[in-house]
Amino acid sequence: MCSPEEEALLQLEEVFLATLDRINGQVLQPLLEAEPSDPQGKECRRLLLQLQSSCQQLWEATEKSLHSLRERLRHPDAVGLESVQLLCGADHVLRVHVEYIESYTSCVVVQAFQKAAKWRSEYWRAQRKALRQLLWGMGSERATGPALVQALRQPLTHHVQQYVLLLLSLGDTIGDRHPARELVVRTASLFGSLQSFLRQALDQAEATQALWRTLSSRPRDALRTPARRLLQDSQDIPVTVAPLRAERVLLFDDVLVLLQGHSVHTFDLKLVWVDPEQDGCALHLLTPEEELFFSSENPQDQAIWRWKITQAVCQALRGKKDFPVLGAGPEPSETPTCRSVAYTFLAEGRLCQATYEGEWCRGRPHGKGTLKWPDGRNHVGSFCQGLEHGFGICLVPQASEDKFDCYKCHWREGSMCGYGICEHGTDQVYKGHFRDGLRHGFGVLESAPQLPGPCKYTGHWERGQRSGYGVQEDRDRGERYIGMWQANQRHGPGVMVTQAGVCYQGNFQADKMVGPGVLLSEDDSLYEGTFTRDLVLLGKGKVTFPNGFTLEGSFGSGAGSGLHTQGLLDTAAPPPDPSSTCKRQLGLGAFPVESRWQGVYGPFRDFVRAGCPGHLQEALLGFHVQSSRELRRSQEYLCCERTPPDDSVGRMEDILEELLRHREPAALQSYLTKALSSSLHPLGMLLRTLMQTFQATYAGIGANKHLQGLAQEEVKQHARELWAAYRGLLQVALQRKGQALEEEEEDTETRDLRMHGLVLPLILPSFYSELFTLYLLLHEREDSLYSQGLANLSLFPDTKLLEFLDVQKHLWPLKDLTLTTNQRHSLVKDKCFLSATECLQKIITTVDPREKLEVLERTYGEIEATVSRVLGREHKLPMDDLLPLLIYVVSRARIQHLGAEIHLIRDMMDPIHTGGLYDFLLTALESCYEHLQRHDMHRHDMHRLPSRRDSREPW
Amino acid sequence: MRNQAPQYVLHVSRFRHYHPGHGPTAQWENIPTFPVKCPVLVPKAHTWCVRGGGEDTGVGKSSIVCRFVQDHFDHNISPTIGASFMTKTVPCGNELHKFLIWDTAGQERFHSLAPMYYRGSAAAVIVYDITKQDSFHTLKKWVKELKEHGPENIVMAIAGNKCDLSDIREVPLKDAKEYAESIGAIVVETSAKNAINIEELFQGISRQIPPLDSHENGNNGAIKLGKPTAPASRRCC
Repeated sequence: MCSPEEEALLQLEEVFLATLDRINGQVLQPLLEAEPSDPQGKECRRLLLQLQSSCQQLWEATEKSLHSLRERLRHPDAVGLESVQLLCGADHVLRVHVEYIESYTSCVVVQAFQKAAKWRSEYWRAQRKALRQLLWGMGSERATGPALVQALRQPLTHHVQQYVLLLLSLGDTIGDRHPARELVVRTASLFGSLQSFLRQALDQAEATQALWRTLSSRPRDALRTPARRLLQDSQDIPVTVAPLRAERVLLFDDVLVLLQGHSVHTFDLKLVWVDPEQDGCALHLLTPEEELFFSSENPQDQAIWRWKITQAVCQALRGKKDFPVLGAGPEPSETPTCRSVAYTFLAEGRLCQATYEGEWCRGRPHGKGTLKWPDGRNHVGSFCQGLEHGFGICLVPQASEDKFDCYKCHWREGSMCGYGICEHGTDQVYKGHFRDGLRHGFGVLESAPQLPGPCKYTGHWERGQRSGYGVQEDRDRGERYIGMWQANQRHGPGVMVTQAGVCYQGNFQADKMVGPGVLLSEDDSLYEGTFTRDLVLLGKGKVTFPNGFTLEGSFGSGAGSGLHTQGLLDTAAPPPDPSSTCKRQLGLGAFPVESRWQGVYGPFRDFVRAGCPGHLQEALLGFHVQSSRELRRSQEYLCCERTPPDDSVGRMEDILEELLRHREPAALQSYLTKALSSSLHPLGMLLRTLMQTFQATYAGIGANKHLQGLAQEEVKQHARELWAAYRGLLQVALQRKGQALEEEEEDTETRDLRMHGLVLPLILPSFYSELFTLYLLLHEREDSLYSQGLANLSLFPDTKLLEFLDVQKHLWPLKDLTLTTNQRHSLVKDKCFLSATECLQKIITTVDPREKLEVLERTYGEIEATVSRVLGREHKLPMDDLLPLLIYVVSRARIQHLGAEIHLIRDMMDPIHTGGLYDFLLTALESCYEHLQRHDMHRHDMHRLPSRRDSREPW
Repeated sequence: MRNQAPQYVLHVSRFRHYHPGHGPTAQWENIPTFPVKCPVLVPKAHTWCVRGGGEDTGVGKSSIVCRFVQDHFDHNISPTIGASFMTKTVPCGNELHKFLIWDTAGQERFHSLAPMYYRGSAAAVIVYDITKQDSFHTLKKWVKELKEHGPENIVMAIAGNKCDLSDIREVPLKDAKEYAESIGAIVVETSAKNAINIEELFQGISRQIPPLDSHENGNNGAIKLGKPTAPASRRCC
């Protein structure tokens, strides 16, 4: 049950197959036998080979189709119409046809047949008859070339035409109900489209070929490629171009060409944007380096150009020919704004010769991309409007050796701005803020420790130079300078601390100390006057020795070595209080604490002022890169593993959301604890940077007792600033919700309360080890006296100690002394007031001054409880009784470095407690501490010590 | 036998906005507890009580303070450390003064620790026993020390305790008054036992404490008395 059309199709395929065989044998094979040596000839041969293989594929597809049709006709009942290759494999058949057409038109464009025919013109003259056979019906062609062109095209055109006719007829014959009808109709329309495609392809090819023929040789050589097709020529539809001048405009399927005299301007269509705005009359085109305006006298002409260019750009971006005709693609109206293409800039300027590969928007690099300069400079990162903007990594090769400067940095409008990490080829690493491509704001510059002259600067920068407050450590000299800078030089007040413990304060100018300064030596002698950087006393000055003697006069280095002086030695002054001479502080008042680390707080304030934009968080607050050094060694230096990637915008919202949910005191405390310990929270980041500055100043060489004053006021200032930072975040969070902060301005009192009560205890652990070390050093002398006192008293058994301290007998907790058979009360140690002693020892288990004071209060409670138990009634202890008992408990608790503890607590204590209960308790503890240092604890009272009697007593 | 001069240290904080018209009770019940924001003021001034005495039974300094503190209604809001630390609020003009009372050990051997307690205090109450001439001598020694080493402008009050025992009096009231006048101190004879003049003693101190300087303390009203140096600067060179 086969339709006659199917039989006709079978015949058609049989004929076509035979024709293809003949074309291959009589035309293509002979054409390929010539072996030209010139490049043009080789190109022709390549194209002909391609045509041959397309022809071969076409033959195969036709053969397959023929085979399936034969099957169908042989067994019409077993094999359905659907399984005919022409129908079920229509797409493949179509593709093979399209390929053949493209190969063929490429040959036409470069006139490959004519050229190939010339190589063997003798042969072709002989073959004319055979050729004529191929060209049945229109044998008028004389020349070989055109005949060949016809021979390779005509059978195909005819074949496709027959396909369409037969398929349409088949569709009519089988009727609407037939299951394969839809397939047949679809295939028919597919081949109908192929007909249009074929027609357009041939037209374009002929137009292009004609163009190449008419164009002068120079532009032709520059432009001619086999695959290029002319889409529009300004000779057909006139158009004028501005600001570039052009006599002729040629729109090809891949480039737009402007011809002016001999010069040829070529624009890759992938990088041509047609401005969709149709203001004015001109057609506005954007390209990476030029802007073009096309205008015609006739608005219709302009519309044609607009349409053609738009379609050509779209087609070029899609990477394949529109099917069936130009502009039949899915989105015809506008050129896409964002693309991803590579381009090498040609114009003179910053980007000359640089290649950009990545995302574009309207003629400019925009989005992620890579920019490579011919000198090896390499920028990977975000771009905006043609400039580096956002995070980017830039590699700058060094002139010599295989070394790079690597900038991992935030950029704004083409230059480094915001936080960045720069690893220099010289092994120096800068981590800090930039502005306009230069170090600016707070930053840390550290040189590699293994190199000569290791040095680390932590502080402020201005336009690439050290300027403002900063700390520089010179490890070779064993010196640390803490103070003001200007133009990379020490300038202004400064403090120098040395490894040897000697330190001095003075005024610097251009890296040199000028005028008098204060020099403190390790043995607590003080020199006020002029001296050199190498610590040679020179000029007028006054030395105050620890014993109170003063030497005033003029100093010089004399003839030999040693000190040479002429002056007055005053031995009359009474010995000063050692606790005041050894506690002299440097730097107080010279660097106001409010302005000391502005470069750290500043970016945070900017961040808050900008409304906490998530994308600026990194740029302003910094980021952390893991083991940057190792990364540099490996080849992956371009990948920068930062902690927060792109979701920071969403995260910032979560942070603010959470901030609002935790405003009640208890929740606020736990929230702040979490925030400060998180390296992703803005507050945590700020604290981390502050810790870094604190360590840079006060750890190592900076652990000098004369800096304690600076350090303690700095910690308090940090607490104040962190509270302000929290308030700033809160305000932003409320603003986002459309609310205002209810208490418009927090008064100083509340702020201080929050600062001391809430923030200081939370941040103190971060600074504690450095800070406590300073207190430890400052109170070393008293602490050693105190320990000596403790050691002496520890020899006393409990009852002796109570007696020694004049505790009234009725308060002695003798009941607590459980005795073994031959023991006496007088020998038992560490049993009385054990609960209070153990309680007091807990004071060192916390760093929070408030908790320490609470421990103290509980200790007092334990003492009172013990006394009440002993007396059998409630008893309120007056100070006369309390102080001796407290001394007893303190001496038994044996807390090390109690002096440092007490003074740290007092300095960090909330000032609201001044005069209050906690102040009283702390003063009581301090008086115990003072008492234990006293002489009578060491010598005078030793005569009453039972230790000697102990030796006589049997144990 | 304990030859001693026990001491109390009192701290004073003051409240503004006290309106006598509303009656003290109503006002005082509204006083927020320590250490809450305004109107409680940061206590920066201390009152320091010293009493003279040469006997082991004491001249009743504990009684004076306990009487003062407990006779009234604010003991429930006062944190105390036994009889060593107490607080007490007294109205004075349109202010409230909160006394923070520090006891100090009076034993001679702890004498050198006394400066730690009286540093920064605004006022001192020095107590003697009118039945003991000795205690009056001790008192004079303390006055001298306070004049020399105590805070500037410290308000001193002399309390002759046990005036209920005036029949065995050894120190005439006239002597005490003359002496007090010579040093510019308040003088009152008290009896802790019969609650005589106790209230008056502390009110006298309140009156002597300079009024709040509104321009200096404008917004928070904290008083800054007798404390020329902040605690932090104590340790500086």
